[in-house]
Amino acid sequence: MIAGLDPLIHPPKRLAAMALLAHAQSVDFPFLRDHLQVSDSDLSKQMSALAAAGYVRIDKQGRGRGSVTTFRITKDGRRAYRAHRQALQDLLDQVPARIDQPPG
Amino acid sequence: MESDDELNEQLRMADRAAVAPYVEYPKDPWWAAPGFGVYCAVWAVLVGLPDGAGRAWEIATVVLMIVMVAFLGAYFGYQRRRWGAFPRGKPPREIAVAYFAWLVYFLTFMGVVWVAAEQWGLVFAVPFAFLGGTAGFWVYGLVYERAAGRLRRRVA
Repeated sequence: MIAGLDPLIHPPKRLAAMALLAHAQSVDFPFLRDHLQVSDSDLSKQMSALAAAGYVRIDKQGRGRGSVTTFRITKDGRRAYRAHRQALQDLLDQVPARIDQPPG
Repeated sequence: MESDDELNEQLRMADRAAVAPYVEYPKDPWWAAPGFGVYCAVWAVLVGLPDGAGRAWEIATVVLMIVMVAFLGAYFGYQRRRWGAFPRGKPPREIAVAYFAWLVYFLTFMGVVWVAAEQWGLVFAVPFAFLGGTAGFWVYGLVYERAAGRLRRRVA
């Protein structure tokens, strides 16, 4: 993995999830699932991985069909997302320099 | 090594996700616009009540002010529950313009209602406030939707 890129956030769906969470007070499960266009189980898996890393907090209220699950980005998650995004931008900005460098 | 096209697409995907709280939102319920009209009408009553109208009016004024504040809190709480992703932080420029337009309208219209209440009394000011508030809220909905459309096109 290229320096600066976070392997946990790099997969496209996780990057999109983190970008969304970084600009919302909280995001509920159906909204995130519909925006990412993933299944319930896929979303649960992705968000569990981010929560295990401390990037996301998962709140569940209620039980059964009436339960509501919401996600919030943590301070660590916000920092990680910003760093990853900056690393992506830096890579993009370096593309002309990489092309100009002689091989070897 | 990822190509610059792939990197660009990743950043654009992140941009689209970042603006989702502003552009993927539920329509206002039918009662929101006339509800704001009622709010403005209550404001007209508050500013149009004659001075020295008696203790009962003073108490009514305080109660109405509390109701107005409570209504705002309840409305924002209700919206937060409806919006699957309530926006946070600095809004995109298209949305910031819409917010500013709303602020200008709100302050200006409340001032106009105050003047109307003082100059022409409650008989004129209350219906004026209700109709103007209802119309203003409805127009703001259109303004916001146009701003959201411009934002969607920018990040597409």
